[in-house]
Amino acid sequence: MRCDLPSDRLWLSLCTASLLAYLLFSQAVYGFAREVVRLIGKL
Amino acid sequence: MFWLHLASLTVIAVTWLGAWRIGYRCVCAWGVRERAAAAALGTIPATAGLIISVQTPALVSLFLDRGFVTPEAVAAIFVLLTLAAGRFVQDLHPLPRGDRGGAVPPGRDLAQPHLGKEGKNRRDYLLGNGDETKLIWVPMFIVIGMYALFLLDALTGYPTGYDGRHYHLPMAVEAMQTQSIDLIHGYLHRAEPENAMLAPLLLAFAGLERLIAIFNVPNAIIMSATIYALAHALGVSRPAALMAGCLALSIPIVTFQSFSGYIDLYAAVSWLLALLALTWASRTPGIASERVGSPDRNLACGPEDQTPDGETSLPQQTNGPRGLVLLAGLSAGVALGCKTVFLVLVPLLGLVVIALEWIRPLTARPRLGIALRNVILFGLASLACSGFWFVRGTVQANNPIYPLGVKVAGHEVLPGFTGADYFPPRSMSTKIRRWWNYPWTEVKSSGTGETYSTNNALGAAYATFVPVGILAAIVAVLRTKVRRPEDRWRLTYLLLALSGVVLLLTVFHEVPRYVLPQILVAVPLAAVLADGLMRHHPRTTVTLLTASLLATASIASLTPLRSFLGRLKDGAWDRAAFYQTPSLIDNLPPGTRVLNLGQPPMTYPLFGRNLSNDVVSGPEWAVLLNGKTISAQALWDNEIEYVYVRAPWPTDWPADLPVERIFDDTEDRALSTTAATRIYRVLTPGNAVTSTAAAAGNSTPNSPSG
Repeated sequence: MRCDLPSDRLWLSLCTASLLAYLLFSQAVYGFAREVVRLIGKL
Repeated sequence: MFWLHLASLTVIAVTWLGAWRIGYRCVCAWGVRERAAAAALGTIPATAGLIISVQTPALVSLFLDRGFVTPEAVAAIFVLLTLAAGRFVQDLHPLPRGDRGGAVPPGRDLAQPHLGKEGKNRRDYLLGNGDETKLIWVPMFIVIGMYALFLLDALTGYPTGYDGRHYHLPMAVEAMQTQSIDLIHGYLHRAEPENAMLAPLLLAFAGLERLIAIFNVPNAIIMSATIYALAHALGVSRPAALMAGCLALSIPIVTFQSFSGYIDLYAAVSWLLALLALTWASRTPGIASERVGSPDRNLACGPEDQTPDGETSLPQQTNGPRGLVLLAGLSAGVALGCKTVFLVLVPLLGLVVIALEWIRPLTARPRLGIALRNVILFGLASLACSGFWFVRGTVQANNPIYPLGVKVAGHEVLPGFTGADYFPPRSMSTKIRRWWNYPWTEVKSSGTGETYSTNNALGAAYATFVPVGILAAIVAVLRTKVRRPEDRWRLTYLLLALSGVVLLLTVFHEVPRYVLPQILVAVPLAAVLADGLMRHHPRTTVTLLTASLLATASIASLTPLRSFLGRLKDGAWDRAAFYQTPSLIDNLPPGTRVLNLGQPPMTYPLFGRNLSNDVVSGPEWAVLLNGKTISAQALWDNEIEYVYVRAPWPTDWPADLPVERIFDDTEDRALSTTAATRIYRVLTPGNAVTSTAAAAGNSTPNSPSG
């Protein structure tokens, strides 16, 4: 079934932007990066 | 007794598989022509049968003041129910015999046309035959790898989860000990319906804690099959439906709950299965034949309704829709009996039942009578798996929906707890701040520790595809006339997903796991978008999915990895080391009454290695004290034998409390970063006089703060 999209590229760009927003703003990503740095520091 | 219980549990497991097989054949005979859907829907009668088999002796126990819930009784009832159902189904749909003398699964007959004339292999069936679409293996392996790590951690540990250890699992263990399922009046969490805990209850009889730790894993598998089937029902390709399954499994709430004692996933899966049954109820031929006297070709609403020759092929059965509405009701009842929040969520499915008359083919006018009959059937079926909890509430608390109380104009109609008891009040600024947490920032609003948890976070893949997928669905609904059944289902799923947003921001106080069914129902909508994208940009789409899954899997895997490596380093493999409880807890005589005045999640560990201690949790103790403070008389009246305390020490103990400190690891505990533990033995009235007199000249008082 087609999903009647005005432009596949537009939706793809929105998905990419959404992923970037997550990677930039998520507390989980921030916490993970901090933890990895801490573990590397311990080693 | 262990071997008898183990044999009974084996019988129950085998019977469940047999009931699943019957259910699978039944839904295939009703016209469910997609394997994943048939396999998922087949679990409904199996699970419902098991639940009814546990609830029946529990119901008798309510009235006879004696416990009847044993694996042996459950196995006997379950076997009888399954045999009866098998006979009934065989009479209803006589099945053809295969070459080897066994019955041929009708799903194979019906599903075979999907595979094409050439007879593609299973991998092609799943993934299609395009090279690009086979890229879907990469995200699948990421998800499988993440789950393997969680599984390794769970199988080498013991049951986890704050709420699970606090009250869900203690309910199961106490029900095992008393062989009845009673509520504790005045204790909100121990008065909730607990369908999800009936399997751990049975496993507890044989002390199979390793299996209790992973009892939710089958739910994760059923959930992924259900999401796949829901996406496929919207007409998306198999790779896109597989993407949806991977995406749903990657949601941290789902991943973490799959290996914990939480029950939201179990309930959400039941709710989604009900939705899947309703979706297929409008796709099977019975409705049209019921109405116009013959199968209607307009029912063909997906590619699987076409034979390889392009012809529409519909079976002649007329029981399909009614049977699937019945299954939907049973599954909705399982969800309704899991958690009070489903008193709100299950009626949404009732609306979908009514909407079936609108969603199904346009060959005739919708009829109110059929809609009404379907709703009644759905409601009655849902009571089969949830009615026990309403009866229990009525018998033991004078309120069928206890612990939820009902007040009208300040007057108490049904006694119980109010919304303020469930959710702490918070300011408007807090509410607004939390509204914006999802899906991108995921700030943790409750608890401590990692952001990803049983209670929190939707993950990168969800944030990548689902908000945009919902937006695309809204645009598509606005641009099309919503005439085809799959378009109407897309609108229905969209409305259900949006209802989750409304409920989350209002009655469910921003607790995302309470709207887990709606969080998940949005995933098939994202699959529609992904399907369109994959047709024209397969590599970019799969790369996006892979990158987002990799991010989420890396973050989520840190928790089990650290947990497992920590145990490996400390050699903490036994139960006492895992829960950091003194080993004396594991060696107390069966039935020893232990009061947990430590953190609430210590309630489950204090049952001991054999799950044989009688543990009173802090909130239950508050109910027993009835507003008073702890005293010698209260300890004796409630037959408390040991008191477990963890730092920070309680400050309200009177000086003459008749207790003797028998364990204290303040100075010598292995992990100095964890809270110190003390255990007190309660002295009998005769010994207490001597001890108190001795303590008067002793430099080590009994008070925990001493």
